[in-house]
Amino acid sequence: MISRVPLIVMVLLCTYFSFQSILGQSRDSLTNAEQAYQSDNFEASIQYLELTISGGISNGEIFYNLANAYFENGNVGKAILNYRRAMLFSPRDIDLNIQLARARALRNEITPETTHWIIILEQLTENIVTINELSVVTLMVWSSFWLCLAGMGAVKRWRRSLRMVAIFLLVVSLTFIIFLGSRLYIQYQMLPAVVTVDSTPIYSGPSIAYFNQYDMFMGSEIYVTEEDGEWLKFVTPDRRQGWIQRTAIEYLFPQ
Amino acid sequence: MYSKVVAILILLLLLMGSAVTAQNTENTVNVLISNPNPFPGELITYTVSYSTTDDLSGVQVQLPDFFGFAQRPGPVRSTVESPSGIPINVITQDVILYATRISELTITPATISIPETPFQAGSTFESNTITVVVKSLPEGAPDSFTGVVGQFDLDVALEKTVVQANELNSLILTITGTGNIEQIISPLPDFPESWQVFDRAPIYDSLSQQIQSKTFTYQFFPDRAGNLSIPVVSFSYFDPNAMAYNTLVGPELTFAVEGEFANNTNTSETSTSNNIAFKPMTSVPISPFPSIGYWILWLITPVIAVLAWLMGRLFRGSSDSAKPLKQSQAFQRATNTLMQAREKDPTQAYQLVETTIMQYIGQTYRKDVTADTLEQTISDLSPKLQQRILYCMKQAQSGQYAPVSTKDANVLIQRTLDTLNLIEQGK
Repeated sequence: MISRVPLIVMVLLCTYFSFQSILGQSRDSLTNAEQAYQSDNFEASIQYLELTISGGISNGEIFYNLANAYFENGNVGKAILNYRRAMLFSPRDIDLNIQLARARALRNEITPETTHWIIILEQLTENIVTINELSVVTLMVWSSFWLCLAGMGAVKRWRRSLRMVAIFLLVVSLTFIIFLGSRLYIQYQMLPAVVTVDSTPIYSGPSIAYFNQYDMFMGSEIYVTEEDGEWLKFVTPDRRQGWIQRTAIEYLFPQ
Repeated sequence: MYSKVVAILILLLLLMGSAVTAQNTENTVNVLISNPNPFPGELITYTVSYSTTDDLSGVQVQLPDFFGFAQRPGPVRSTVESPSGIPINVITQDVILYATRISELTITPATISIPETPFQAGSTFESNTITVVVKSLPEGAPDSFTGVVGQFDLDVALEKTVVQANELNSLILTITGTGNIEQIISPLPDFPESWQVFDRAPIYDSLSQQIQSKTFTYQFFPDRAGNLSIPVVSFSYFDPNAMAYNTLVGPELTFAVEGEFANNTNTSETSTSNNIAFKPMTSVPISPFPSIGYWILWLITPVIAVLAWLMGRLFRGSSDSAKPLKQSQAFQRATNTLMQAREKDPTQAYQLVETTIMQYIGQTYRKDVTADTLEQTISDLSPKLQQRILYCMKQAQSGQYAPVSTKDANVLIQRTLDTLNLIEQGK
């Protein structure tokens, strides 16, 4: 037992120092990315930022700056992709919302009107709270509801006075759970993605032998619902469906 | 004689009527395919027709799902034919198909639905199943061939032949013909890399059910002034009639760009100030999603609630279980005493009833009860019950000093028992 203690300490120290090393490299990359961006070398800035993200370091500011670099470099698809990634961290950031709207306006298609009910539900909170914030609030209301029930169960004379409070908390809990559920369902089951190639044909099945329904263009936002080899079935916010090649899109969060 | 003629005439009329009825029920569904052995992408026509002597109103044609085919359904046409003098109503629907894969494809039956009317029940008729064997395209396809089969024309034009610097121009490319036009992939011309090019969604136009056109529009900003040319556009397809691959090549288009473009170097120098502000970054990784520990927290409060409920139930249960036992014993004693009272003489029975009521109330409320404090002690009971107890008590007291019979005593005992039982149930 005693001999294990130094081993554990060594492992912890190694983990700490390797993490510090990664953080140090990331800090250097971020500094280089900023310098490249300020000198209009967007290609280099993109490379440094992508390097940082591939090293496992990502947050809202990094995605926002990366999106700006892509935007300045004329790549609307990657810009929208990274603005949306940044939105997961800072949904109330005004600059970010403006930039996302600008990038969407540069797309080669009219922004579709959302008609898919779960996407509508998701978009109700998307620009207001992050998933983490919504999770905390929902947990608080949920816990309050159960504590209220606990009070009612433990003390008989509290039952009548707490009944209305419990009903109110239950309604609020369910509302928040529906909002949180829609956000998580979209992230885990209807994987959001963005078209990152200039244009790509959309087929009615997972092969080019199928019917070519229409074309999609850079920056189009889709939700992937099914995979079949190199082909992905998707739905758009306005309920169009089709199959697209995996190489034509990038997921909001790499799978 | 006349009656025989009339009978024969009636018989003949009946026979004719049955013949007409038999004809009316002859409903036939036919399907035809123009080419059962096509190439993938080659247009074929599937025709479904239904003929009947009945009225066609409300008749519906349900087409097969055409699995393995792309389809362009045409309108339902209705005509009247009279090949043997009897008018026959015919409805026909043509569907243009093309196979999307090389294999043996089966077209499931088409269904004709006859609606129910007051004179006949609804019914459905099915056509035959058709098998289409799709054959492979011949060897020797050019590199630019993308699976388009049919006969096509290519038209290439520029929106403007003269544009100003930084003005948008458009290249419009229209492919018209009979074939799998939906499967034509954008034949993007090889624009110079420095040009900004935006390709619009293609526009379909239907000249007939067979002949269609697809228009691709490429909007572009040239990056320099002068006379410029658009690279040549080419498009390949397979012609099943000629059994050959054809390549259509558009003309070389030129246009003039007038005016001056801003100096790129200067633009680069000034662009720094126009850049979107770079936000200060930290190298702290943040996950946008809650961790597993968060979901465990969801279980804590429900568990607390269940435990609290169980504790509450346990606590209440133990305190509640003590009370009924004592009260039940009190009631049991009272019942026994009242049973004994039945065997006593009336005066003693009345005394025992009084004593039993006092003892029962005293044991139930755990206090000494006298005739004076009885009313106050039972004040928490319902007024009706109070009234009943006080009545029993009064009867028991007064009966001790009055001439009473055994029957009167038994009535009082029974009434007292009922009253005490009601108190017991109310606890």
